[in-house]
Amino acid sequence: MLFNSLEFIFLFLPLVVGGYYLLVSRGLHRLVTPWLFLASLFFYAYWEIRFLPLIAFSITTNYVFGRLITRQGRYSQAFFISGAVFNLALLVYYKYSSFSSVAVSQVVLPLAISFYTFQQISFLADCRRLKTAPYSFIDYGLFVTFFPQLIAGPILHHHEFMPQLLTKETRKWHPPHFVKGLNLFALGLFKKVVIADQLAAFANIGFQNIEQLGWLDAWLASISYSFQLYFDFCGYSEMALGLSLFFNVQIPLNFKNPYRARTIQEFWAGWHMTLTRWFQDYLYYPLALPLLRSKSSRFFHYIPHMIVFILIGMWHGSGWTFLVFGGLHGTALVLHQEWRRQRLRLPPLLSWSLTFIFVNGAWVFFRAPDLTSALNMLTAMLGGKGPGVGDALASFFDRINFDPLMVPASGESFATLSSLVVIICALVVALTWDDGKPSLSIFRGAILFGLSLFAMTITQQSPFLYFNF
Amino acid sequence: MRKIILFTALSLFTFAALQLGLSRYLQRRVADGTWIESVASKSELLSQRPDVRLILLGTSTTQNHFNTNWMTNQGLSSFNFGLPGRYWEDFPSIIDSFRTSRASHVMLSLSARVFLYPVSCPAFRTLYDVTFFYRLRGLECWRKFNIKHLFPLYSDWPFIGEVFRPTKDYFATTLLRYKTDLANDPRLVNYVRGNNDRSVVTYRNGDGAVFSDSVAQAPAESVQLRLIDKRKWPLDPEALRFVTALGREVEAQGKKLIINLEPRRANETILINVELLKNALGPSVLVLTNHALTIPRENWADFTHLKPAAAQVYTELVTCQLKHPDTPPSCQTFLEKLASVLP
Repeated sequence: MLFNSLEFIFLFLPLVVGGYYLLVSRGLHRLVTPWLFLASLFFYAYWEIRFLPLIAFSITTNYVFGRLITRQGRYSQAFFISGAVFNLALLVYYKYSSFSSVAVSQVVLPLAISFYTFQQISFLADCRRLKTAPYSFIDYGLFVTFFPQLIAGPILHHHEFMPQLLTKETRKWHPPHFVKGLNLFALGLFKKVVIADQLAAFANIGFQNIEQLGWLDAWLASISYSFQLYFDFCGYSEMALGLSLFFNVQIPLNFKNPYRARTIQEFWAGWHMTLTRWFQDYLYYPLALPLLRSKSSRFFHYIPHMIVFILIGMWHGSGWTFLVFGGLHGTALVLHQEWRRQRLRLPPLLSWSLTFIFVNGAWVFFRAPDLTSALNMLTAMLGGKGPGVGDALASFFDRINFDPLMVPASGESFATLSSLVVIICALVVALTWDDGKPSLSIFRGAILFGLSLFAMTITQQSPFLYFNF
Repeated sequence: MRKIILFTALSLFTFAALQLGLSRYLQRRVADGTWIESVASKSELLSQRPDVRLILLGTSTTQNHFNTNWMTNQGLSSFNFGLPGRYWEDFPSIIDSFRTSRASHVMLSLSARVFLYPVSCPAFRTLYDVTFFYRLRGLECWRKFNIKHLFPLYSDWPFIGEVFRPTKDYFATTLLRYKTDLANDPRLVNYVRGNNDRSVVTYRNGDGAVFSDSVAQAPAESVQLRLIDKRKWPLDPEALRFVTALGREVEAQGKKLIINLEPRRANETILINVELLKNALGPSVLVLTNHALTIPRENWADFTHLKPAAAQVYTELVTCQLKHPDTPPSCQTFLEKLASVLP
């Protein structure tokens, strides 16, 4: 079920929230967690029921491993390694088998496997570090499947979810939380159905017809995708935040205005924050700290950076394009570190522009079906294909008039006033609206929600981009 | 709690105001003489034609194969309710939208093939479709019900960009040689969509036309006519039940149903046992058997649509058949014309 479906908003959500507060008001607190757990499983199965046994198997196995690890017996470390290997094996089989052979590339990627696998690995690591409290199977099951964050995160830590779940304060009616939740849900829904889905039209046309793109079309397509991805995923994350607040649960922010960043480091401090946090906690520090302590050469200090970013790229998918995407970001971060060491500074507008252009270029590898297409797109963006910059602009101004008898110079150009207006609006929203800010006025939230509902009735429903990862 | 009520009321007000605004926009746009390919838009167009006696209902083939201006000039006041991307499963709610029309006849143009296989659940469902299919097939199609269909406007609205797209698009290269013809067509161009290989023109009166040479340029073996003879096959009972139920809906509106079995494809003709269909529908329903027409490949624009010149002759043929249902030989000249290569 999609957050941006009318079934979810008008049937599933009122039923689940209503049931939750009915149980709370009747004092049936023991049934609250099972109710949310069942609702979350239904939510997952509604999309594709055949993956339900897999997630159930994964939850059960991790739960057992978690219990074995927390006993702190002789084999605690072995259990931890076995659990991590189990999770990674599932992920590798379903996600990366296409890398190894053609025969198994038919394996269908189970929904949300990257998210729930990482969440469970971190849980096992926390068990090993004795950072977890006693928990029941149902509690643990809800930690993994809690429907607001199940499909595309944020990736939660056990210690930030479980205490909230078990405290009595959570099981009370808090109108301010509910209102904040409504506002955040409305904001996220607006970003998804009104902004991201409109940008998708330009991005899709562009990336499906890379060979025919001229300079301006290539830029419009790539920028459309950069904003589409941001508004799609940030919108999802804000909806998740809002939905969690309906149940008095606060989950971490996943985005903090990444497109305002003036350096690549700032960008990653605001983009998919729970994923970068995961890699930082469970991979970067374990790799980097020994190197830092060993006083080895600076070159070695950058190795963990590169490993982490290549793996972040690979986490998104099994293609070479993701590998290049990760490599590019890793290299950029290393260069940024060196730049900082030299204490060099750039004017703010220039540093913002450079960062945005780099990020936009790297997204081309993220979106393109293969490396050749990505390079073709970048060539077109550099003016190496199709009509030159002057011709492209002339054609664009011609199309503003929408002359009914006009014949486009090459194929169907989408560089029109309307596409430009949509992109400029997206840029303004990205730069001026604060991500995840729940202090939206009730009026603004309600109008955004009404607008989004309207858009939903007249457009095709589209899944979130991060469902593919 | 007050804030939650305020939020709900405000968002519903915004939603309703936008729905109303869009609805008004659509009415104004149709009043200005332009429309988009949706049930809501064509219904609005039809409501502006109180003189219509015959509604032509069907898919893209209906939209692109009839010149209703010409039919009206021949004394058969007609409206083209063909809609691209539709299947006959979507017809119940469309027929329901004819209630306010004063037309006396509804002609359903269908491929003969549909009577050989069970009917699927409709792709574009309204609440009316769901109840219609519930009466016919129980809960089978209820599962696919989308809550969206409870909203006032039909859910068949295309992508938002389509709604607000300028009605006058550009003419692709396929249309350059027809530029003068199109400019002189009394039906007036509504908009053009497509690409350099195939252009679909819609006219302001609800008709359409496909301009393409894709069949003429396709390898001869791919356009070789295949005759599929299913005359000894029984017709699918579910399909028959469905078409008779559609007939009942039309009759309930005080209109008469006509079935037009249309030519199938440039490379395929299906023959069915028409007598079984006639028996199921009863003597009050006229069945036109155009599914076995011989039409050379040069007269097809693409595999499923005739070129405008062939569509004009086809219109003349159907008009003749409607005017002289008991004397089919009088329409022989149109059959012969359609069997020859048209300019």
